[in-house]
Order: sequence, then C-alpha cells, then structure tokens
Amino acid sequence: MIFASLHDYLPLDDLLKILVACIAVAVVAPSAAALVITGFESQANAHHSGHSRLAGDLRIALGVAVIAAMIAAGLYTLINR
Amino acid sequence: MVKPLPRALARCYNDPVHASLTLIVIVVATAVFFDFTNGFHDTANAMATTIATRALKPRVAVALASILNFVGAFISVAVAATIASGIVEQNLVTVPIVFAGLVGAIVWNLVTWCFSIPSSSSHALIGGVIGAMIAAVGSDAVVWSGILAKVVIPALLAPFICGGAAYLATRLSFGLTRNLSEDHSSRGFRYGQIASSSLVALAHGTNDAQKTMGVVTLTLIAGGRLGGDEAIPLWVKVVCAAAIAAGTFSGGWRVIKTLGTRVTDIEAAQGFSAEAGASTTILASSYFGFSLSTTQVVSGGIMGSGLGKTGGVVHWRVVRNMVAAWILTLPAAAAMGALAHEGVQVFPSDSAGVVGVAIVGLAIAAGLFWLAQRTDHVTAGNVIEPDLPTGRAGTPLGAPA
Repeated sequence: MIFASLHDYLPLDDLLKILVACIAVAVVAPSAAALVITGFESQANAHHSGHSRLAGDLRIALGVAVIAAMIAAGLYTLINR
Repeated sequence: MVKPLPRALARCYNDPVHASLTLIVIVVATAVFFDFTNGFHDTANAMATTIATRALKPRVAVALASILNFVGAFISVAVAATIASGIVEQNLVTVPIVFAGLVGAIVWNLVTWCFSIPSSSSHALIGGVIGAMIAAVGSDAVVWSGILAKVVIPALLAPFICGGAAYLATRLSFGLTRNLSEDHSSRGFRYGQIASSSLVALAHGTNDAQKTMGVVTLTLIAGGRLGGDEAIPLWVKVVCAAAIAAGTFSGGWRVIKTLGTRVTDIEAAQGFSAEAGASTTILASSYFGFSLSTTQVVSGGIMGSGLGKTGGVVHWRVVRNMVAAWILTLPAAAAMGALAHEGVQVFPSDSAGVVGVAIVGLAIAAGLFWLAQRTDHVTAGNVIEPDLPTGRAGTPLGAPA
C-alpha cells in the first residue's frame, strides 16, 4: 500500500537503477584508485630494487583507464539526458 | 480551481506592452544576481572536500570549479525550458512573480551563507516563486503534489542515496589501501578526487546556470521581447554562464569551511569517496529525470564518508543545523517571496514596485555581507584552519560545539 502510494510520486524502477549505479561506482571507483596506488607502490619498489617498472605502469594505466571510462560515462549522461 | 488573475497582474503577462523595459532589465539583473549567489553559495558542493584534503589550493580549486561551471552551462539546455515546472500553474506566472521569487531566493541564499550553512539554491528559488504565487493568485495556483514529488521526496532520498554510496566507497578505499604507504594512498586519492569533484562542478553548471537561463528567457517572453518559440538567445547563455562562474570564483568560503572541515575530518580517501558518490548520484538522477539538490547530495556524501572511516566522527550538531536549514528553505524563501510581491504591489506600477523592492533587497544583501564580515571572516587563507573556541557571540551555526 505504502509502496503503491510512493510509486505515484516516484518511479521506483528508475530509483532502483540509480541505486545500482551508485553501488557500482562505490565499488569500482575505490578499486580503480587502489589499483593506481598499488602501481605507485610497485614503481617505488622497482626504483629501489632496480627491477622493471612495467608492472607498476600497467596497474596505473589500467586504473586510470577505468576512472577515465567512468568519467566518460558521466559526461555521456550529462549530454544525453 | 484557480482564481482569476487580479487585473494588476494580468496586464503584465497578457499584455506585454505594459512590461516596460525598466521592469525587464531589473528582473533580468535580479536573475543574474541570483545566479551569482547560486554560484558562490554552491562552490562548496564541488570543491569543499578537495580544498579540505589539500588536493588543490583553495584559489586553484575555485578557479577550476568556476571554469567547469561556465563550460557546463553550455552543455545542454534540457532543464532551461521552465522555472518551477509542475510546481506552480505555469500560465499564471508573471514578471513580478518571477522577480519576487528571485528576491526571496536571493535573500534566503544570503541568510544561509551568512550563517555558513549549505542549503539548496534550487529549493530557495522554488520556494520564492511559490510564495510570490500564493501572494499574487492564491494557494490554488500551487501544485502541491508536484512539491511532494519534486522537492520533498528527493530531499529525503538524496542524502541517504549518496551517503550510502560514499559510506561503501570509503570502507573499500581504506580497506583496499590499508597495507600501502600513506604517501602513495594520499596522492592517488587526491588525483581521483580532483576528477570526481570536477564532474560535480560540471554537472552543477549544467543544472543550475540553466535554471537562470530559463528565468531570463521566460521574462523576455512574458515581456514581449522574445517570441515564445524562439531559442534561448546566445547573450542569455553567456551572461548566465558568466554569472554563475563569477559567483563560483568568488569563493563562498564560509560554506566551504562548513562542508570541508566542520561536518567531519576529511582525508583524501573520504573526499574521493564523497565526490565519486555525489557525482554518480547527481548524474544518474538527472539522467532519469529527478532533480536532486546538489547541496543535499554532497552533504550526504560527506556524512557517509565520515561514518565510513573506522573511528570517524560526524559532528551531528552541524548536521542538525544543516537539516533544519533544508526544512526551512522552502517556507522561508516562500515567505520572503510573498513579502517581496506584496512590496511590489504597494507601488503604483510594477516598474516602480520592482525598483523599490530591488533597492530594499540590495540594502538587505549589503547588511548580510556586513554581518558576515563581522561575525566569522572566512577567506581562502583560513578556510581549512580549524575553528578556535572563542566563546563569543557570532559563532556560525555551521560550527561544531
């Protein structure tokens, strides 16, 4: 009954999609940032030990690519609403 | 049923010849000033956490937000078509009603800024128009179900949706980086924070500058200076974009201090989480047609990030003052809008009325600026310094106990 009344004012399906988007970003964004940070860490370790920086570079590139994709999706929604 | 329009009001909307150039110029100038207050009141939404975590220097942060607000204003004109659409009877909106609504919104924006409280500029504008409408035509001209659907329910949901996302993101951010060096973690999250807060600034420019474009365009149409089927003139877009950008650049340091330092102690991971949650909530909701208040979304995100950190503290007294301001925004702006409209009616003509009320409004604005300088002078230089216990009168309502 309450949900039926609420649905008159608020499309619950759309609200669910917004919630899913927020949860997805809340999981993916910190993971991508953490990937970049482990890349920084890996680069620093490689610098000290004289090993290749490739692993660190790849992590940073992947993390940045994920964040860039999320920003692109944000811009898309802003332009195409 | 809607009451018939009083003659004094009907003449302005129905017979554009009577909407003099003076009237139109003053209403457009008032709209642009509202846009400016909107910008400087809401700078904090995008940049408070970025400044608080020192991801960017205060002046650089507001300059970036200012540029993105300007650019955002040109991205889309989807929301510029109407003012308070679905909230009041659109066909009864007159130029003096728009003017009185703007005055109500500006005064409420300045009052909340003076007390360092983040509040919704959009809700203030809606409240001002509702109050002016009730004073001019009666309460039948207000679509109460629209207020419930477009203001009340979104206001209740926004802080919780963004707060939940920010809470989850903060838990993950700290959890995933707990074994990594503080220096690298901080650097990574600060970069991310700049990106996410820039997206919030862009979305803010797109949403809020266009509301003023809508107001100015409606005024020009109602005043007979623009055809109803004509596009928004370029000068209107440029002026509105420039006004919100100038307002943003001027800082709004008081509200930045409240959101950035007084709600919770923000670290880079929390700032990143709060702004990522906020940008997603704002963009996803506007994509599906919900108009959430950027202020309430970001405030919810900051609270969520405060709760998400183990041992994090949220200053609930500050939150309580913010929520009280959110509840008061609609009725308070409505009361001021109604008062402004009655003020216009005291004069023999609408043009004289708007000039008189504009002068009184400017005097009130000057008084509030003076009061703000006297009580808690916040600048770019001291915006992230913690509050000192002074014990004297004038401590801002946005300050923790």
